[in-house]
Amino acid sequence: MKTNKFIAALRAIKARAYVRIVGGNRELSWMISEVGLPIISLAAYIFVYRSLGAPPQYEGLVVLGGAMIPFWVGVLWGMASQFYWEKETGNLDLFMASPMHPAWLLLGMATGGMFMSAVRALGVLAIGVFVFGVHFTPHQPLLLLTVFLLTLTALFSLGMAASSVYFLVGRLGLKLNMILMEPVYFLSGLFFPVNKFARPLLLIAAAIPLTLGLDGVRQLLLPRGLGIGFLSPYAEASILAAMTVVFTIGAVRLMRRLEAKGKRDGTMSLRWE
Amino acid sequence: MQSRRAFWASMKIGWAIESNWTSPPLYLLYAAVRPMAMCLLLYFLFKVAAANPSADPRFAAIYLGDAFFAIFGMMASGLSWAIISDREQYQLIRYVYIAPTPFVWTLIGRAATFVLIALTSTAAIIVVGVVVLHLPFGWSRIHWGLLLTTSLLGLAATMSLGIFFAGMLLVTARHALLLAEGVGGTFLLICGVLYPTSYLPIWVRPLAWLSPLTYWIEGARRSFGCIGFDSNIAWLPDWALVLALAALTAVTGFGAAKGFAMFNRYAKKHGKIDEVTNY
Repeated sequence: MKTNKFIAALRAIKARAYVRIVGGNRELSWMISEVGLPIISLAAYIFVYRSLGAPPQYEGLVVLGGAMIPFWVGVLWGMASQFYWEKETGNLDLFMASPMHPAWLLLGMATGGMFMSAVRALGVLAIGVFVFGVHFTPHQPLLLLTVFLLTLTALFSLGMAASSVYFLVGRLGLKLNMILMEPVYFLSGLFFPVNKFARPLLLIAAAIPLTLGLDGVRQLLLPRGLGIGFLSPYAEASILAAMTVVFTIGAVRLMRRLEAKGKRDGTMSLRWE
Repeated sequence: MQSRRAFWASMKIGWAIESNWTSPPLYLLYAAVRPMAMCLLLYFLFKVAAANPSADPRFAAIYLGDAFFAIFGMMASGLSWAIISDREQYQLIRYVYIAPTPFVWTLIGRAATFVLIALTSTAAIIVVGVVVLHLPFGWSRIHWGLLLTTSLLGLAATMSLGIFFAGMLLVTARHALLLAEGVGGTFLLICGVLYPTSYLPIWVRPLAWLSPLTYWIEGARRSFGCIGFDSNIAWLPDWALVLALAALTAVTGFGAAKGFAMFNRYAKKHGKIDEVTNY
């Protein structure tokens, strides 16, 4: 019985991830526009550093920040607001009626979303290296990989938790997404080192997994990167691991509440609210 | 008469769609937060090169450039979102399209709403610049004549570009939402918003000099007393700058009208007006 449940869970995760892994990457024009167009803005920030006469390592900092954008966009638009979209397109009630725990659906979304964002991030990195001549000098590769993976798990578990909250706020969630783009780019120090922040702002920024993850990856990947970090990569990895656990538990609990509330209020298939 | 009514109705609807989830002051604050965040991002980015960006005239020029460029960015992304959501999510665009008024006036109305919202954001960014970052943009130093002239022309160019890209969105799929980001990014890259155009590769510079936004941003900077930021156009006297901006705005307006008509015809011919692509 337990084996059957486990297999059903794996199937659900695979099915939901499949849409993003295969469907999200088979249309070439999507790939080109999603990788190529955002890099144009990044180029502007690279030119800003050049015009200021900053050391070349800051160009690498911009490219790394740009490579993390697809993950944050994936969390907001592909995770947090996904249930709202599923409701709008009439899929949510079908998902809820299927023989699986909704948490597997979230896990499938996160797995597929990570892959989809990773493909786009690799594209940004490739353009950064081959077009802008950015250099990376990875040191402590195992720690680098750990920090990066923990950043992804923390980010996407945050997305899983947020999806239930977004579902409850309805159309307002789209506005919330809008307001969580540029302000988070600013707070997470996407194009500059966060050690330039004053301490109170740094504390707020550190609550965002993207800030810690990006800071850790920069320290371990950029030449003289350790000089621009604000916490040691080990400390950042530990905090990211703790965030992953907290957000995942929160996501499962919120999901149960959402399901119960949706069924009780009859809002599971109510559109345009 | 019909066009005027369509324009006002569209503006009204546009405002309601954007803001009816909250009170108008809160909405305007919400609209200002995104571009303001980008300006603050620039402040900390500048800190890498200068300990006190507020004292550096280059930062004041960059800050102003970004504040005015936010109008174009907001209009481009807002209009893209409006078209895609009307076509794909609410599926109402067909009813608007068959109404007895030119469709383009509906779009101009929506674009005007975004421009007005963006203007309040720009004003808020400048106030934050003066009050929080202590940038030297005093009232007494503003050259109002130049500011109003270049802004009117710049806004006309911005709306023309918006209508052109709106036409393009009529014939492209849902993922063309990224087009707004790409278009915004391209103009941010080439128009000397964040750095002088002399830092661009030589083959890109002519594009910068052919863009009306380059002259608008330069005009706005001069109006606030930021002189000589971009040596490539700093030598132009004010009257020549306004003349160049007026000429390029006229060309952009003409091109946008022709371009929109072409995209509109194509969309109609190939049944793309109400095509839903969010499969």
